[in-house]
Amino acid sequence: MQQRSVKKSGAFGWYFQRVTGVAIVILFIGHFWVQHMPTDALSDKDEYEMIREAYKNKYPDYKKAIEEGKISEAKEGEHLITYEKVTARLSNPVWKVFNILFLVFGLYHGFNGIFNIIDDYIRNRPVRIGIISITWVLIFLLLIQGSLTIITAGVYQPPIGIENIIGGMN
Amino acid sequence: MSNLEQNPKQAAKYQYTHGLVEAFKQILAYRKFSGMTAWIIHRLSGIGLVIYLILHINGLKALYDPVQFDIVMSAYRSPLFKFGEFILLALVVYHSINGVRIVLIDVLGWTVHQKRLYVITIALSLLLLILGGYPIIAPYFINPFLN
Repeated sequence: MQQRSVKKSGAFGWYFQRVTGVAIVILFIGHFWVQHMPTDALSDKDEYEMIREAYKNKYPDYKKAIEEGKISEAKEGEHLITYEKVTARLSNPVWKVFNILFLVFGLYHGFNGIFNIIDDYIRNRPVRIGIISITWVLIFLLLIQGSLTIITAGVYQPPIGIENIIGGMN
Repeated sequence: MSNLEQNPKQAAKYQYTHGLVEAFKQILAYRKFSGMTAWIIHRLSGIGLVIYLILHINGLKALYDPVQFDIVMSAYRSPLFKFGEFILLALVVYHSINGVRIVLIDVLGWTVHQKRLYVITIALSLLLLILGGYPIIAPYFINPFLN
């Protein structure tokens, strides 16, 4: 058989599907541990009620949302994701890098798979071009949206400023 | 039909008709051995996970605002979403473990063991689904009936 270029044969995609796949599994274990397992990264019922009470006094909109029943009570034995803890975690640069890697690998792996499926089932050329274009637009929108969320999330701290850095060195 | 497919020279001439209905018929015509079953579930769970990824990135737009974020989180804690979370875990667990199986076969050449590996994949998926899924659904579907 005549040898084809790497790009045409899809060897690059095949190989990196495996590399990113393994990376995602490793990242996913960390993600699952902090987001879904009953650890300190989540709040139990008492802590949730405490945080809710504090936010109620801090933000008038929060109080209004609770009164309208949009922010619900915790169930017995439930462990909840709270804004307080998620932002505290995401203000740590290590977690920012972790999540950006998760985002990039996830998008690459997921949409590489979608392109494979398009290759398998859609043969009509105009339809193919249309669907592939829409998919690329979607990928870029998700990448921008996701990175913005990760980069901007966290406890807000005013920019340090060059004069403070220089001042701190003396 | 089977002869036609097995002969590579003839297979290329095999009439392919495109379209969603035809694609669906083709999926039904796949041979249902362990490898093929593994592949179909892998593909379907993959599509499900990409749809979830889109919803997830879109939902986390609310992360800049505590009020919006907790409203979204409260919506995610409704019984329907909790059930969805359990299904999501099932998809993730199967897709990752079967993915590891694929990597083992591709990288280490464990083709001889592929059927046994598939049985292990299913067993390990179910085990992890129960272990990881219990804390997710217990406060909604199990604890209320115990108290």
